[in-house]
Amino acid sequence: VTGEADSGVLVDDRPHEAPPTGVDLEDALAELGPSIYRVALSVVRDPSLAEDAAQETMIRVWTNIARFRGDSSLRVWVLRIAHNVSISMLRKRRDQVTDPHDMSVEAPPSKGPDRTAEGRAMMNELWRSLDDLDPLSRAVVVLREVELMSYEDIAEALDIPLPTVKTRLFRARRQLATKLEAWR
Amino acid sequence: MSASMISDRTLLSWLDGDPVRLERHLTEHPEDTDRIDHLTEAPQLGEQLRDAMTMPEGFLTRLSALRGADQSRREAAQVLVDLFSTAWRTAAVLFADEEQ
Repeated sequence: VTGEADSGVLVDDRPHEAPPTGVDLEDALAELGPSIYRVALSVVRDPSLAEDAAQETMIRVWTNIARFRGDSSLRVWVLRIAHNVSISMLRKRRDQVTDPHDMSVEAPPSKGPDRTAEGRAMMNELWRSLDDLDPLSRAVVVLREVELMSYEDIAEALDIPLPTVKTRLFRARRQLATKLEAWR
Repeated sequence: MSASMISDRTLLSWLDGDPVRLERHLTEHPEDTDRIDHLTEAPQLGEQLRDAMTMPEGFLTRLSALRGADQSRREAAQVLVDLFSTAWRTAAVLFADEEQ
């Protein structure tokens, strides 16, 4: 029997491989922290809410690691939880906000190398362009272009069919490229 | 596997105007995926997105601290459960002995 608990964690009662030891999990989570944050940010678009989602994801991973079936990679399993948690937080936020303008957020401050004014403006434009994509498409494009995941892993992490991953990705790329071209 | 006979232009028009049809097409002709991948390639996008999504200052440190706090919370909760269940467990042992 396989199902999805409220926590957004896949559970089943089939025998599974032993979960990673505490030390392995610590290391894995430290390595996955940035990816978890980016997935959360791609969905919720608010840096502080994304951090809350990342923290909630970590707690759910620690709580549910014994349920990890081992038939996907730990990374895919963790990012799936991150996505589900983020979607849930986004829904809660939308329920609470009555003025849609309260939902729009500024681009997070860049910590990269010192940018020119044009570089910063381009970054802001990219951030605004992401707003025109739906949360699922944003997650797909981040998992593929930033996290460099395979189509199959993305389909599993987001629980969507493989062809949907592809069309969302290709459309998102075209939309973003068109916006950035127009801006230039 | 070779690509289908559908032209690049048609594939892109489905992508923009009829994604459901494109999904159906890719299900039947997964070999066309590489073609559309190439047609929509955005070489700088990954790097730009990574730059635009930098983590807040101290994020990883806070996550690490969270683990410690979560463990302490669980241990404290377990102590409380043990404390309040001791009487019941003792009674259960005593009554079990009496029944025997």
